[in-house]
Amino acid sequence: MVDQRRDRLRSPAVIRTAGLAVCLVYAGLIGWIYATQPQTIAEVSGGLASTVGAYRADPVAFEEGLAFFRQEQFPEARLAFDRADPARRDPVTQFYIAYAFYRQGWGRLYSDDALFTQGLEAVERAAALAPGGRVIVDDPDLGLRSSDELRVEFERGLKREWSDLDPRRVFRERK
Amino acid sequence: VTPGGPLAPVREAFTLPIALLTIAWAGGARLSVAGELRFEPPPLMALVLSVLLLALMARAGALATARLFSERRSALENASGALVFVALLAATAQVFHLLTPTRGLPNLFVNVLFLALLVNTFSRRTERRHLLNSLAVMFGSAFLLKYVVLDSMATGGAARRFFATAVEGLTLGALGLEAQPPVMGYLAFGVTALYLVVLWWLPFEPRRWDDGVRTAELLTVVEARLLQEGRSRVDE
Repeated sequence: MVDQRRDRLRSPAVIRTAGLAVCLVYAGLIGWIYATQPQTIAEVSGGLASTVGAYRADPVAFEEGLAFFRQEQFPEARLAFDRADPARRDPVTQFYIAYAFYRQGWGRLYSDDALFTQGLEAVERAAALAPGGRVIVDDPDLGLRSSDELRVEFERGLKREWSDLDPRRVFRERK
Repeated sequence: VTPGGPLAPVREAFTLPIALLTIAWAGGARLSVAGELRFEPPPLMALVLSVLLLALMARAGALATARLFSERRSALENASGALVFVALLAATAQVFHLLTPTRGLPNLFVNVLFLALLVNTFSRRTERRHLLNSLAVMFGSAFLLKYVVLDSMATGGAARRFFATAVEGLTLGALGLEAQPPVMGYLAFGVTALYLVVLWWLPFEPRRWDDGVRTAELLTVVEARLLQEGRSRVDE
């Protein structure tokens, strides 16, 4: 009985079916790595976990990040958010990272292009992760509550136009 | 691997596709000097060279396509064989991509050289052993050029000083040199070596024009035996 089962498991059809299944999964994993370009092992494991809906941002680190954010300690906030979402798979955390870049880079006379560029990348990452391609955060502390508004704000800040010379710019408020 | 007979199921279903997919995966990995890791799909030229090489291998008998898929095999066997074929195509493209300099004049030069060597081999009758030997030489030379010579030139090593002395007054700017971290050299070496080993594992079939080679080898053996026999008779 045991020998029969062993023989059945060793039959060429079973070996080929198992091989085909294993190789297709492996090929899928390689395709996913090429498509998502993970930089770290955390991004690989987080990305795989998120594909099966098992990925969650660390709530403790997220709350720390939020506290730093509200105290206007933006580099510290980003470090905490990075700790909360090491795989960069959580849209809300990525939205807050983008917002931290916005608030740090915003200036009454001019905005910091380097920070705004990084912020634009983060908000695009957040939008790509969110269902429907749009993140909405219900936080009364934020002037811009959707990824679309934040993206437009970054694009406006990075664009060079005649209205940049308008002296009334000094009266505008940070959102 | 024995010629003619069916391929062992484990080799066909596990060993070959997993090894080839690993080559396709690792062959596209690029690590910059700054430590940034990215995965690059093969460019169009690498795919063209890959198709050409596979056709050449089938022609030389180094790849028996009928032992991977044919009307006599079942649908499952054909699916398994097709996976090996697709993985081989992807792995070959990535090996070409890995061994070709990234940009500038060396990129053009090596691509033209690969194309010329493959077309040259295509134009004459070749058999498996010779084809695999010449592929080892071709890929080995490309590896040395990219990861030893050009890398040394980019990082200011002996090759750069030699080149600068040999072509005095000529700038190296047009060459588009790019420094590589040492780990890329080791990765490329491992991937290329594994690819060459996998080529020996592929199902093959002897070509008719092998007969000439075998006859010549047999004649040499017969000649040696006759000479030995003659000598022993003379001694008697």
